[in-house]
This record gives sequence, structure tokens and C-alpha cells, in this order.
Amino acid sequence: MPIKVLKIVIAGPYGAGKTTLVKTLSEVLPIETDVPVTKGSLDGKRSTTVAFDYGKMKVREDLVVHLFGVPGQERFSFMWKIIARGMHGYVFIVDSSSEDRVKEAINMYSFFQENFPNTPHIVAANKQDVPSAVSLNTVRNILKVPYTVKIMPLIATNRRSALLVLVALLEEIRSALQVMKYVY
Amino acid sequence: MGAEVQRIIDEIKLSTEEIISESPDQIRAVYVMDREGTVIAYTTNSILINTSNTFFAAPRFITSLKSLISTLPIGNVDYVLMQGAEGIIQLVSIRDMGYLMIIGNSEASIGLTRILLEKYSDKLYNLLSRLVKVSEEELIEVINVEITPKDIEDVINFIRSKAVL
Repeated sequence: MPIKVLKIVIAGPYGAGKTTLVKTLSEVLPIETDVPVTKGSLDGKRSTTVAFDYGKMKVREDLVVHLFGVPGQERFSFMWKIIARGMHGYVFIVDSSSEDRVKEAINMYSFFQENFPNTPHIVAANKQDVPSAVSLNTVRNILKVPYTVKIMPLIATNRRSALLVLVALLEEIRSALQVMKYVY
Repeated sequence: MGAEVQRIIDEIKLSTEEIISESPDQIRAVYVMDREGTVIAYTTNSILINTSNTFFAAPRFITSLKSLISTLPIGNVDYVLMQGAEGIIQLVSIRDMGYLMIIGNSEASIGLTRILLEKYSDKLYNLLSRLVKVSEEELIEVINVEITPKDIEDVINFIRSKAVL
């Protein structure tokens, strides 16, 4: 019996909250995260992803969900494309605690939009619990997120918030598959 | 993935630094891109330019270049020269593996840059070939068995069964 793999990528710039999201999801869902590759950093962040975060969740005997978090630094842009190859959808996380932090995501979001124009995705505005957080509309305007793409508020440390984002992405993927089925 | 991929990327980065050091008074920046225009490594010459790290992918540029040459009777792109008001871009194709792009100061640097492009092509070809091979071997390839809307529904239900939303 061939095993179906649903591949989901968690993208976003350095410090946006990708690793935290995968960690929070793994606290509430039976996700195996046995292949993290991390390295210390000197700027206050306790660890940073230099390769990728990885999580695997077995849904059925023949259906597995793979979660990949890509490294946020631009010098790893070559890896973004390799890791994202064959993905069914992606969550693009942005630190929405200030306009400047959102602006840091512009290049990476453009990269994903240009390289994967037809892949279902949602934008997750993380750190919405910070008092200075900007609105979802501001995030949309700064990143030039198309109106067809959903922007979700996110607090990556909050289990319910993390789950809602994951489910929202799955719903987008399901809709896209339904449209493809209808067209072809 | 890991160390091997990172090591090869570091070697490519070293090559870009070497190219700048060949003529630090004339070369402003060096980029090595893969075949789709994603920058794998680059070095900018801080003496000659004050650049931010904003340029790291040029898929549209490479796609445009490919579509341009497909409509012109010149075959594959081996070499491109573009002159701007403040500098000159010279780019060579590293066979089917990617591109090496050097930004020079002025027309006076064109000849030297052309020599450097040729000089480093073979070395970069070997590094890029290794990079592609290693990255494909080391990363998990998703076997393309078709996912259906029903599968997604099952995943959503599975999540709901494990956690109250």
C-alpha cells in the first residue's frame, strides 16, 4: 500500500516564530520531531534553525503529514526552494509586533510568491498578543498579500491559536484540491 | 541535511570572496545563482558600495533571459553584459548548473571581469554539481501519491479528535 504524504511548509523570516509554532503543535498533536538541527546564536534567541525543523504526524496507516520549517535567514534562500519542493501548502509566518518586523518579511514572501505562485498558503501574523502589534490589514498592505489569501492572527505559543492556523491552511489546501478536481 | 550542504555553500561563498580579492578596486559584487536565479552565495565589496542584503533571488530576471534567448537565434546564454549608469553587470552561465554574475565599476573592468568569469566557471560548476547531488540525496523527497480532498478532511478530523478547537 503506497503511503500518502501531505507536505506542509512553515516559512517566514528569522525570529518570526516558525520553530515555536512547530513546537506548540507537537505539544498537542502526536507529532514526532526527532530531526531538529539547531545551533546556538548570540543575539538573545536561544537557538536558531540552520537546516530545518521537522515534524511527522501519522493520520492513517497510509497517510502521513510532514511539517517542514525552513530557515529564515536570507543566506539560506537556496534551501527554501529545496525544502519547499513538492509541498501541498505553506504557512507564511510574520512577526507582526511592529511594522519594521513585518517589513523584514517582504523579500521572503516575494520569494515564495514568485517561486510557488499556485501553492495554497495562508499568512499568519504572529505575536498578536504584543501591545504594539499591527493590524492584519497593515500586514496585508506591507506584504502585498493578495485578497484571495487568508491572513490569520497567531500567538505561536498558544495551542488553540496554532491549531486554528494549521486547520485554516488545511482548509485552503482542500479547497484548492476540490477546484483542481473540478477543472481536470 | 546538514553539514555537507552547508560546507559546499561555504566553499561557494569563499569563491565569491576570492573573485573580489582578485581586483578589489574594480569589482563591486559577486553573485552565484542556481539555474532558476536563486542566489546561493554572494559577496559585496564594502569599499566600493554600500549595499543591503536585499538582492538574493532573481527568478524573473533569469526567466526573462531564457525566454528572450529562446526567441532569438543565438542558442543558449553563455555570457551577458549589461551597462548601467553606475556599473556593469557581466553574467555567465555555469553550463546547466547556474550563473556567475560580477558587478564591475566601469568599462575598464570589462576585460578583467571576463577573464575572472572564465577562470572560476569550472570550479563553480564542480561545487554546484556537488551541491545539487548532496541536497537531493540528503533531503526527504516526497513521493507523489495523489492527495485527495477526503485525505485533507481526514487530517482535519484527526486534529479535531486530538485537540478541542
